[in-house]
Amino acid sequence: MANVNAKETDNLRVAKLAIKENRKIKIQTFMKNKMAMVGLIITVIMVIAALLAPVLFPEGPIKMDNPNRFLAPSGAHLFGTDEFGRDILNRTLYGIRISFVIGGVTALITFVLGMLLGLLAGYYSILDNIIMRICEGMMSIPPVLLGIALMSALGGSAKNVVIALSIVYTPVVARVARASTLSVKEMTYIEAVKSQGAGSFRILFRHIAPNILSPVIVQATNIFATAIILEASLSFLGAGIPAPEPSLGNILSEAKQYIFKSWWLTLYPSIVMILMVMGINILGDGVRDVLDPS
Amino acid sequence: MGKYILKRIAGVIVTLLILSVAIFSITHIMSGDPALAMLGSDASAEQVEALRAEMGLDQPLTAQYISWIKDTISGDLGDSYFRHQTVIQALSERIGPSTELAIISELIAILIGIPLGITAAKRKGGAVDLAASSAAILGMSMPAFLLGLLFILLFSVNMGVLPVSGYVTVAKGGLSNHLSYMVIPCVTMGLVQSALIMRITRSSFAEVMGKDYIKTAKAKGLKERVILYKHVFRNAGATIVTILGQSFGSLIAGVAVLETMFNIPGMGQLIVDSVLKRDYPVIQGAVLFVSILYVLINLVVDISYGFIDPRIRVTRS
Repeated sequence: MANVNAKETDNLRVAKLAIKENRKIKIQTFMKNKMAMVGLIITVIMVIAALLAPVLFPEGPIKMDNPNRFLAPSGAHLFGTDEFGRDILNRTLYGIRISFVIGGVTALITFVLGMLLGLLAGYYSILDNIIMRICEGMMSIPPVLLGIALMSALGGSAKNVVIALSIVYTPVVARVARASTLSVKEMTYIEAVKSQGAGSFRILFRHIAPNILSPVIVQATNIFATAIILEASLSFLGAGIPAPEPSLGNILSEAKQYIFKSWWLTLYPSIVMILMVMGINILGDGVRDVLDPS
Repeated sequence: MGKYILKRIAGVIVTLLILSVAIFSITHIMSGDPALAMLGSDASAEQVEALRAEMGLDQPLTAQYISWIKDTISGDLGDSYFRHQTVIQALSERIGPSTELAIISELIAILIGIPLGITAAKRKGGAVDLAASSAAILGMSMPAFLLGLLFILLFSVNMGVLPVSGYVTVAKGGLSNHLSYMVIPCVTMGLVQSALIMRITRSSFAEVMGKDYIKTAKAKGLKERVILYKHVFRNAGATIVTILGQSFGSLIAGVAVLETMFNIPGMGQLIVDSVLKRDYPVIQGAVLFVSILYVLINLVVDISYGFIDPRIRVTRS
């Protein structure tokens, strides 16, 4: 008996070592990928900038300063000021803060819900038809339109933007999770666990879920970036985060009114937004190359 | 092939049913009472009640849904609450500018995206590949409206050669005037779409080019052009067709933001406008119309797969 146990722990030890080694290789491939590192650096700088916003501008992004309206960029106001004399750098930094929170929370929610729905749909064929048909129906409404419609139903606020975006993107994640579940379900090791008498719950969450993580994480990283873009579009149209709370979308929407008078209102927040999303996209490509190489 | 097509069509009908329920539910959980909005806040409670009854808003939701579907199938999408016209009239007035915008943009996207993608795949890691791939990441990292703003800044504000926004019909202002208003929106949308098309073309071409049968074709001395168009294109075709369908579908919706921004009287602007006014019938009708278009485009894409790649119609039916 003792012998058998020793053998088991030996196997376990080897398996754990293999997992650790595998992880090390993955991290190394990621580090060697120059593009991915550039993406990581840009993203980290943006995150730090977003975190520093309250330190650099403790007065917050909303306070008006009427004598200083429409100032061109200068040492005192690096990005210039807007029609209420508010500092654009200040509002842009608070704007990326909101973008990160919305992108991140949406990616997290869609990851959890999509994973759950995808696992259930992939595992139980009765649920498959119901869940996937609903997802297909939702996905046949173009994201921008679904977003606008949901936002007008829910009312403008950061929380509602997250809810709307999660409704828009959960079906996308669910579809990927379901496809992976379908193929993992047929693997021999699942059959082995089943024949040992494992319950459905255990099979689903302990054996299938960890093995479909890679493609789902890749999808969620994608959603991080697209959610930021969609939020900006919604706020630009006035169906997202309501002014005076800053979001890259509504900063640019205000900027458009004064585009002839004050070019800096448009140019600087645009550059920051492009850099931020580009950083996340490049990082996402790097993550995909490591997790889902094909 | 017939069985494959029938199966796809059956799937589409189910999707459309679910779609209609989704659109109906969303418009009906919208806060705010359209009857109250139409009459204004100084209307009496009886007046509001009467109008609600006239509009059928006092019926249970399922009854409202069923009557809406019945009318929709018979071609009646109802009347707008605020415009003095039917939803069908409003849609048909708006479809022209949107279609023009979508088709020109898609053409620009294809003309840029596909040749660039093929060139990039042919010399992977070369200068063209590097430049095109970086440009594509840039294109995918900005919302269309942002690129539009930057174009306005460059061409309208800085150089003063193109109008900022607006729309003039050919009949009213002549072709060149009409086009001068369409240039920025079309190029904006086209460039944003071309990023995705380029990336997909590149990766699907690169994948096929790595296959053994392409090596064989090369080894037996076939010309590069023949290999590219006879062997690679046919095998990478299904993916590219899908992405073209998807990009055209997303374009129809994507132009919503640009139409609003550039003040072009198209479907997108109509939808955004109606959402702000809570014009239920128009929102329902327009979103349903656009989504059906989207579903039908995907159906055409699915069926054309079967023609491009015979393996698909066997495995999927």
